Amino acid sequence: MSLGKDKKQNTVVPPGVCLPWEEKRPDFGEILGKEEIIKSEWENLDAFAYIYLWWWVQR
Amino acid sequence: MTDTERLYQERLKRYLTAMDCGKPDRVPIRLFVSEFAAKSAGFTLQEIYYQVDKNIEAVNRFLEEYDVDVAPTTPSLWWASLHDAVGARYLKFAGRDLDENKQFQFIEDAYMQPDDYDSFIANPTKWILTSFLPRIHKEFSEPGSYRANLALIKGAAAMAMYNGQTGQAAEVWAKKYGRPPGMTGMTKAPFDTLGDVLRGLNGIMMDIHLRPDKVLAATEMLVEHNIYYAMATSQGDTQFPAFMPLHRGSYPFLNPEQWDKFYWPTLKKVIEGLWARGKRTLFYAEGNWTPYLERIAELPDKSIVFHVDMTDMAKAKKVLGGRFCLSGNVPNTLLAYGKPEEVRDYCKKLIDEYAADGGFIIDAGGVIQADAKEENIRALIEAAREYGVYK
Repeated sequence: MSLGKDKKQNTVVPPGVCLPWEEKRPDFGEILGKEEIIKSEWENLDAFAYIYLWWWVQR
Repeated sequence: MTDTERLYQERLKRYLTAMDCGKPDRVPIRLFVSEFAAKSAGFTLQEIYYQVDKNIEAVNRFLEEYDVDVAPTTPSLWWASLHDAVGARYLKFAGRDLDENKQFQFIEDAYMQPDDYDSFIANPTKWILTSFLPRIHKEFSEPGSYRANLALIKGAAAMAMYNGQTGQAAEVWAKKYGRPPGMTGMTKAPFDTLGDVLRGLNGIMMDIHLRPDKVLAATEMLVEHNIYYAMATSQGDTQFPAFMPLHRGSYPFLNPEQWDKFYWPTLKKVIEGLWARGKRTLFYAEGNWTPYLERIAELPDKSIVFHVDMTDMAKAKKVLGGRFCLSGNVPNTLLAYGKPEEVRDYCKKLIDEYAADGGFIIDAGGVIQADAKEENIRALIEAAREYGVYK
């Protein structure tokens, strides 16, 4: 089974990324503090999700 | 410096020197024990598969009992409870589907179908979550349902818990038992990523005939993912090698032409990519790789530790020796069915013929499972300590 088509079928999502920051960023609107802190923490957790998903494949 | 710290530094230097093709003070002993450690510690296989503390304690007891230079991994690579939480279909475990002392079993199937190739190549991470996990996890078969969401939460939480516990264990193995790790992180040859769990042996063998371009595109796409996976799972460490268990590239799964076309190019890219980042690969060549030694010699010097299982050790030494550290290759059958004096004789011969100029680590040919006899493991270690001294 497959759960729908990827709207960004031609966009290459790099290793370590599930949902790129560029896709998430607009959800926040104006960021009042340091964007880099939020981005960096987003990417760390995103990388954990990536490793969890790939762990089922790399065995 | 305490005695334990001094021993840690001695063992570390011994191991690193050998991997750099040098002559340490002694031949390093690196034993990858899996279920053997559970048996030796007095645990059932169900206990080490299901209880992480016992899985770790088995290693503690192994390090107390056996004079090895580096710590093995935990005897069970899988935490069965994590698999239960998601309803993983492809592993059977002791105490659940199997007797409490039966080794786990892998149920191979084509969990990825031929018509998945395009989606997989376009966005593999999304394909894993949306197509692959619902097939292999019973609890996730209806994405969005209560049970599916629960399975995702529990699976990810279990992985974080397990990694935290094993990370702490590695600290104990270093500080209390004076053993550095034998490896950090793992990855695979791209063809194995595709052929092991996704397409299975039947599927991948059909694919190289029916849809070779898809196989080539998928393995090419996997190169950067497999490099990333090794670096991420080793948390960036570059002192120790990444473990790379090699499967379908063993002779004669593929004929030499197929090996050259489908297996080697992307495997080479992964190893070279890791080496460019300072990360060595433990090329764990399960089975026989003799026909491919000249191609493997194309790799950058010292970028791999070539592990010998059933590969011709004499030829491996001739083709790779001096440029790559070799490890191995006490036969697992000898450890299971032989006598201690036979093990000693084999180890003496191995050291005399292949370790004299350094760049050698003694180990079994394959991962040491519950069939190995304790007296034979002790004989291996005693022989290595007696004969493996560099003057």
